[in-house]
Formats: sequence, C-alpha cells, structure tokens
Amino acid sequence: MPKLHPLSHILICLVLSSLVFACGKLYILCLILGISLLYSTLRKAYGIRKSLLTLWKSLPFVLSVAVLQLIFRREGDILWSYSILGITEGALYWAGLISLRFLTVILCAKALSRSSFPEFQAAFAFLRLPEEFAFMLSYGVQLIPAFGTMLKGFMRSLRLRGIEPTKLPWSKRLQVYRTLAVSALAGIVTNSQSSAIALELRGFRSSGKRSYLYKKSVGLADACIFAGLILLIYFSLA
Amino acid sequence: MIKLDKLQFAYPGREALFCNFSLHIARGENILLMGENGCGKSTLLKLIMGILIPQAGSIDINGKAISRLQAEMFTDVYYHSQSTAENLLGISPEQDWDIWRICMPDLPPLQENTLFTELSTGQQKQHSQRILPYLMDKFWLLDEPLASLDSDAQADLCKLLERKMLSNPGMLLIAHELKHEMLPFTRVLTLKAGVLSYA
Repeated sequence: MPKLHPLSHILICLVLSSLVFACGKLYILCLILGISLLYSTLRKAYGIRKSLLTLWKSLPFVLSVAVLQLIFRREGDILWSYSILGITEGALYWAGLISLRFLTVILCAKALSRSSFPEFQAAFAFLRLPEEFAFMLSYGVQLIPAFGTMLKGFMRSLRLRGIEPTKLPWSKRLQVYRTLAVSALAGIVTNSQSSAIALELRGFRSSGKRSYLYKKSVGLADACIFAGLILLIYFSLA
Repeated sequence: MIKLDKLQFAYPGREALFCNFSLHIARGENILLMGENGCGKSTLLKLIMGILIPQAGSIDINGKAISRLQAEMFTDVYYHSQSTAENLLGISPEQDWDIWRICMPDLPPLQENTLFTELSTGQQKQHSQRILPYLMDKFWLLDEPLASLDSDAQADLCKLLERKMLSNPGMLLIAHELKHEMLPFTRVLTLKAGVLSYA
C-alpha cells in the first residue's frame, strides 16, 4: 500500500462507513464491503486472514440482527411461510442490507483503530484542528480494541493461575467476568490519564510557537485516493 | 521436567532470537538465567508456557507437549511475569486474592480494599508475590521477581527462594540483581545471541 497521509486513512474509513448508510443498492454495498475488506487487508499489512477472522467473529452478532429482520419484517411478496412465521422479499432485502452495513462498519472501525495517536495528531494538525481533538478521537476509536486486548490479557492470566473461565460454574464465571470487566475499564481510564500526563510533560497544549516531530504533506497517492472516493460517492449515490 | 528441543523463534519482521535452541531442565534443578536486556530471557519463559508459539521445535513439560497456554499447566508450573500488571487481576488486592481462591479454595481470606492504583509499583509487586509460599509444589518460572522491590522485600524473597530450593520441583529464575553466590543454584546460565553458556 502506498504511504498515504494519515488523513487519507481516516477519510477512507469515514467515507466507506458512511456510504453504506446512504446507499440502498445491495450490489453497491457488496462492492463497498469488498473495498473495505481490501483496505483492511492492506492497512498496516493486516492480511486477508486476520480481516476475514474479524468478519467471522462478528458473524454471530450480524446474523442475529439479520434473523430478526427476516422474522419480523413484513414487506413485499411472501417467499416462504410456516405457521405464523414467514419470510418476505422485503425482509430478505433488509437482512442483506443491514448485514452488509454492519460488516463494512466493523471492518472500517477495526482498520481505523489500527491508527496510532501520532497519526491522528498528524491528520488533525493538517486540518489545523486542536490536538485535544486528536487525543480524544484516537483514544475513542481505540477504546473497544483496548478493552478487548485487556480482557484477552486477563484471560491469559487466569489460565496461568490454572483457571479455565469456560469450565467454571456459572456463578463463579459471572463473578470473574464482572471483576475483570470493571478492572479492564478502570485500566483504560487510568491509562488515558497516564497518557494525558505524558503528553502534558512533552509540552502538549503549550502556548507559543510549536514544532512538530511528525509532519507529513499530502502526496500524489492521497490525491488518487481522494479522486477514487469522490468517484465512489458519485457511483453509489447516482 | 521441562524439555525444549531445536527451538526456532523470531518475532515477526525481526531477526531470529532462537535457532536450534535446546534446554533440558531436570526435576529439582534450580537455574539462574542471566543475560543482557533483549537477549530473549523473558521470551524463553513465554515460549515454555505456550504464551508465544515457536516457528519450529518442540517444548514439553512433564512429557506433555506444549502447543499453547492451557490452564492444566498450572498443575506442574507457575509462571510469574516480569510485568506486575500481568500478575494481578481485579482492582484491589482483595479481588486478586478472591480470584486465586477460585483455584485454591483453601487459601485464607484476605481483606485489603486499597486500590492497586493507590499502591506503589513495589507494593503491587509484593502483593503479586504473596501467592508464592502457597505454590511450593510447583516448578517456578520467575521473571525478574526482585525488580522494583526494596532491600527488605528483596531479602524476604531471597529467603523464600532459598526455602523453595529445598523442595523438589525446582525453578528457573531470571534476575539481574541476584549474585549467583547468594543462593545455591544448580546451574547458572547466560543467554547470549540465542546460545546458552555456563556462567
């Protein structure tokens, strides 16, 4: 993947995840999902296997929403019915539409969460937006992945203590999960506080003339990406 | 007890840390592992525990092949990470102890509601090591247990290590601060460029 400006990466994720909500054509949504998958694969050399794994892990959630749509939507011709249950043409369309939207948003969000704070900082510095904005946004998008990583670490620590969480009785399991979830949240809050202090110590938000260690200008590859995104918006909404 | 055979390991995009690396640890052996920062000591412990997966070679503990971290390994081995945060669970010593009591119900209860964030790094480390006297029947893999402890706490831990050396399963210890003459280690090894040598 050519070295893009961090702002281009944010734009790609924003445009792709917004387009899926603005567009209602299934074939366009499939195209956008394909582009998102390609982007997720190439972003920081994440790889197709990990990108597909992300989709696979989100499948239970996406499918459960799709099934609800299939059962409860009553629009268009009935394609199949059994007793009070039935699947209509409209329900099938909406199930497909919502699944494609969710999958695209998940891929884009995951790709965006791979951007580091300096990248957000560079992107927002280019737009002359305050650095607090970059800090809050970078921390915001990394909140759920950070929570997941922390929980994963806790599960590992449990196994090191000889505890297999899935083999615990329900009451104990709930006790452990509750403790670990609170602990992970507390950890994230504490880390954000430490990061904020570290930034303050490095002169973040200080007044006067500033110098930036990490500054990048927009290049030809970024221009191509912008043009591509405009074309995609036109093609999707036409 | 622990057998590592022809191990090959490299972090993604980096040079190989271990190439055809072998180490056999017999039951009852007490080994001190030394080496410069970044030479792979902690990685070695993580490989033994199945936290990291080698690209080639085999690891087995008590005859059981290790391919990934499993809760059953706790029957034979206890791994104490270099990172105190990894050794603690929950937000207070009481919560952490309660989780220990799930796998060891005979442990006495602990009532300490101070938050970990209110404790110093050394105090947190000391708390994480409170469990050690109850795990004398296991082989210990301790990564830098003396780091960030004050001299009294270090002396207490050394006494415990001495006591542990008398029990059978043994230990593999990584410690920069420890002079090998201080404790009767069976072997003192130095790791350099993926090769072990006797110190």
